[in-house]
Amino acid sequence: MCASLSSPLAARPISNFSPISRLRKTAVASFKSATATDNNAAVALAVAGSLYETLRVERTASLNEIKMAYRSLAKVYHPDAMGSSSDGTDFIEIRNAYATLSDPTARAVYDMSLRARARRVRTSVYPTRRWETDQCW
Amino acid sequence: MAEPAYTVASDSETTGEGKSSSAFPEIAIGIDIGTSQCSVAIWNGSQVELLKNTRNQKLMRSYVTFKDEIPSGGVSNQLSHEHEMLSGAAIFNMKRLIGRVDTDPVVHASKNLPFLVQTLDIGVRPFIAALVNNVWRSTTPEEVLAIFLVELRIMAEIQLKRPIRNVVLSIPVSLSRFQLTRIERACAMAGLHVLRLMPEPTAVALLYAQQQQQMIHDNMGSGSEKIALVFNMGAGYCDVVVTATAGGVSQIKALAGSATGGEDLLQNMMRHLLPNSEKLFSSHSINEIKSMGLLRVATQDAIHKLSFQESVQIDVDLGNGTRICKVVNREEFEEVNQKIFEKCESVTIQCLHDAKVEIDDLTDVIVVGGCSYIPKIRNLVKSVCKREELYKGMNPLEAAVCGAALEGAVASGISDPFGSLDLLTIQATALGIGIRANGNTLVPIIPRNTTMPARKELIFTTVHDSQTDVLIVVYEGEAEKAEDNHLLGYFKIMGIPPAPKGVPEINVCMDIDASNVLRVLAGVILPGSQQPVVPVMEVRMPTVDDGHGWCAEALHRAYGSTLDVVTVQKKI
Repeated sequence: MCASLSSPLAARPISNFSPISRLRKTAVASFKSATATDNNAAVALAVAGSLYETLRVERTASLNEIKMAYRSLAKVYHPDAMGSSSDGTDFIEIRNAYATLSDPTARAVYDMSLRARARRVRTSVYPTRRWETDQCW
Repeated sequence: MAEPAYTVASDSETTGEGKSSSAFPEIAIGIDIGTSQCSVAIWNGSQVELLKNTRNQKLMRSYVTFKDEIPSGGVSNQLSHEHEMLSGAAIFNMKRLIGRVDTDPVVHASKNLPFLVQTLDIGVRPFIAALVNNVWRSTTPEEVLAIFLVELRIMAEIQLKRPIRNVVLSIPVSLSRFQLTRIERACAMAGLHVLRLMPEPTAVALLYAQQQQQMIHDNMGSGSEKIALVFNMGAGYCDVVVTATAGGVSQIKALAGSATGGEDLLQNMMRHLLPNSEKLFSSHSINEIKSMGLLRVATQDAIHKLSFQESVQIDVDLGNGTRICKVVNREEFEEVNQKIFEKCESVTIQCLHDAKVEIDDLTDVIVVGGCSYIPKIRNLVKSVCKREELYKGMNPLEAAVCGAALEGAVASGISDPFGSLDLLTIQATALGIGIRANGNTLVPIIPRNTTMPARKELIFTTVHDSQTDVLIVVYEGEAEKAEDNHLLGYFKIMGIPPAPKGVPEINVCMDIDASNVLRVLAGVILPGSQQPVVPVMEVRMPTVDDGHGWCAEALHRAYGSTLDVVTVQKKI
């Protein structure tokens, strides 16, 4: 599907242009859980599709746990650690999750939106799109 | 950083070589090109080692002399006396001049250096020349830097007995992306491939991270997060970063920098000793250059002494009938340079503020660079950070090059059995990047201190009905007025279908990868459509080559506001 756009890089950042973004996202997520097997337990406990899942921490994680999770993920997913194969998309996603969850105010707002989303999912097929998730694509 | 286009061919060759010999990856060397001194270091397998030249020096003066047919630099050349460097034949301070236009105050401040810096004040590169046999021989900062880098490369190749290609260069925080392309060009001219350009204080931060890791290894430190402020001031620049490090991973929380350095202290002091010095040296005759050189050496010497003693006696005969005989004390020196010290203070405060770090949370305060010997500098950093003590674990003159060498080893994929290279620095952008919109303002898309790699986008729209073309002008900097920032490039999006103003959505996305390469993407969407109506533009920046002082003005003259864009208010 990427091939339909002239440049593969162009397809990703401008999310509105490309309906494939969510599909790719799932692919990346499954790739991640496959590589970081030691974190599988945390993934299972986290809310599906949430920033907590991105950082592989529990909803109740302390700030210290969030920082540690960010650091250990950075060691794996930062383009410098991954080599030339990475374009940084995974790391940007992790970074954005960390930016929200490490700021107490932003985290509180996000938690509220998560609860609202959990309610909405039952009534609507489409989950809320947020800038954190959108801009990664 | 990726190589500029003109070396792509050789780049692909080396990539091939690199793959074949991947068992023994080439370790990139770290180079610290200081405004006044430079050094080279490499990871020797167990630690960072500084390379020495044939005269057993680890720190070499950064200058190039155009005396004979073949220019020679401070690596190989032996100065019989300091004055030889100030005879008009030597060019130095190139790091302050590279990539700057002749309207830049830093270039103007360089006009009373003992070589020729000529400005026309029209926004083009200044004319720089060395005096060779009573002839002004023209050169460029890139050429001078390249000659010097070749000497450094040869020195390293002789000692390491292998060809050197990959380097990590430490650079000042405040350099614009355009200036960085000039440095890359100088490296390319010297046959070097820039693996990474690393802001000097972040290189120091990497060294700090490694030292903290080492301490945990030796069971001396705790594994908790450590926050450090690094203040680095040399002859040309004053830079600050705040870093948070734990487990070998350092997050650069904020950077701040200014083209303020020891050179400014020196020039203020020269003006203080000889109030009309600029006028006296205006014609750059041989005798004037000689007098200027004498004054410079005497002043520099006095400033060095004032770091260790309360007052100093200056007695210098300038040879033109002027003799300066004066006792200068430390207080006087500090008063003359009050503005400089205030600037250093404000850069530090700004960095702390941007990092959103309370001073109580700072584990260590690190002051390095040539100016770190000046008591006032140490005191001002201590007072801003409310500290009694500064971090002691580093050599102030070697910290940056050691950090660059560490990054060189890490970036070359070297691993250490003891985990000494298990390091990662998460860098941040030093200057904001945005486009000209809403009239003549700079609308930032990636603000400064954004973690790299970064990707952010913003929606703009047209200002006129049936506007078919828009001009995207990309700037880097913090000033509100667009033209007060560094112009990086511009391009047009054409063929927007006629629509009322405010309807087409112009999506501008900026992407900076981990090697600090900036790409700007822009596309147009009309309401009700998901696909871009014209092909998306993808432009690698900077695109401006020279004379960029003129470009923005010319664009404005030619197009006025006909191709303008405005930001779209967020619909909630």
